[in-house]
Amino acid sequence: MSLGYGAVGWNRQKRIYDRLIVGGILAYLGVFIALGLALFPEATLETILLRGLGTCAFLLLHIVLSIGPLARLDARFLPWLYNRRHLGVSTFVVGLFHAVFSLVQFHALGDENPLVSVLVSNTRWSSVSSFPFQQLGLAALAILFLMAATSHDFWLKNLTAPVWKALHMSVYVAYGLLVMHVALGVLQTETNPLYAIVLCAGVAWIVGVHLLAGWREKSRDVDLVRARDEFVDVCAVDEIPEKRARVVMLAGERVAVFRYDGKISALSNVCQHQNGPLGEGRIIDGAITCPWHGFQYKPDCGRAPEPFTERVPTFRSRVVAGRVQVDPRPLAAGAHVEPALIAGEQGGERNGS
Amino acid sequence: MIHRLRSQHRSTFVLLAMVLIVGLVLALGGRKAAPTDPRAQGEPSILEPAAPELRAGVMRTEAIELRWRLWEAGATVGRILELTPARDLQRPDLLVYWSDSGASDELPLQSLLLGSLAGVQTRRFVLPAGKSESKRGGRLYLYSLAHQELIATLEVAP
Repeated sequence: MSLGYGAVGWNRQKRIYDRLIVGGILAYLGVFIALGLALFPEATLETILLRGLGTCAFLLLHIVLSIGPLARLDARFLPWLYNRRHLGVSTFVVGLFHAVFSLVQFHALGDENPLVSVLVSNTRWSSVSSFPFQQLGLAALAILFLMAATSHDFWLKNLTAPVWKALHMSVYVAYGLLVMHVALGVLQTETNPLYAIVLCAGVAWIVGVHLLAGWREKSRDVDLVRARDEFVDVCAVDEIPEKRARVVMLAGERVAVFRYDGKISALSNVCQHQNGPLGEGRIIDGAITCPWHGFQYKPDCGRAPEPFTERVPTFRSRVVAGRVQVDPRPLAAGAHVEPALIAGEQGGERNGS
Repeated sequence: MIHRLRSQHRSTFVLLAMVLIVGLVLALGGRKAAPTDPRAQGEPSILEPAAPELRAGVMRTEAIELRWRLWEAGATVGRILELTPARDLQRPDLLVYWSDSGASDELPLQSLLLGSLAGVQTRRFVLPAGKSESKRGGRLYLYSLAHQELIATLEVAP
């Protein structure tokens, strides 16, 4: 969390994360070039470097796209999510190097502007084997540039998280374009079946893990609300671990019901920062802590601790006969709600209001 | 709001899966084998002499020394010219051109690129078939592209 905007809000974890990214990229390129020169002595260094950069960017994109669904499926992947935006920007930068080297290698020595040359030198759109695949890569790079340029909390805050997330979903279009860039490009001449198998396995992995996470999320979204003006029974108190939450679907959105210090508080499951799942976080130092980037909220009012200004909607709750009930009508973001007390832990049942 | 985005995400991936399956099947299924010209590959089944060689000789300049042989490889292929450097070529970028427009001190504009020479490798080239018997003659030009220099010529009689 930060109150102002900086180019990068550095901390120890981000430095470690970024060193891993840079070290990993350099190691990959080093191994790729060494193996390329050893196994394909007829290939030029320029060609090997081009392919090293291209495969590196494509591999990074697979990792970036895998982190989200893997974190949904298994909380052990959450640390990867913490600084995913830097990984995404790194993907764009490596892809940009690949594109610039390609321009120099294939389009810079003519009498036409290299960028114009990319767009007009091949227009055989109806051909499969000679399809203008470079235009696909350029379109994907333009999308990745848009992603990288807006990968900052300034844009996240000003566009609002839902708009920002919708915008960043275009990365899936970029992925599709890059798959076809590879299939219609290098795989038209590199006919070793291994390359096609690796590409298809990558696509199957990305599509499979996203669909699996998506369907699992859908199965959780059983709306408990029958009538909007009544308290809804959500679970037994004992089903909520201490300082943790149970996430339920109420009136079309998820609500996180937290148990802590003999009390129950319910608030929106959606973090205001990047719409992370608050209910999958825990209460640290008295504040609900988002598992994605550590944004915090007080459980009784949904407000970030001073001086931060983020707020999430809250819900009335009560405990009746050991069961937690929540009013599905959301209160204004940041509205204070007296926590429901758990019988035997705080001295009796009472409504939160 | 987030619930709607999650639904869009699921729909996007169902659509992406279908599009990519079709795209990959088309792209990988539509691959063509790299075109190969058996004549250019120097495969002996076609390019070996079907008849005794017509002519043979040596081209010699300061930069190169080449043995050459010419023979008829059959009606469907035509005449084959074989070039074998007697020693390492002192030019790294020799291109072999053919022209039937008469002798010239420069590479004729309308000359036809047959291929390249390097090292001491033997190369065989199919000479273009002339429109008539008299047009079968021509001249071979060895040209260094980097130096923009004509290295040697060889007249080939009809």
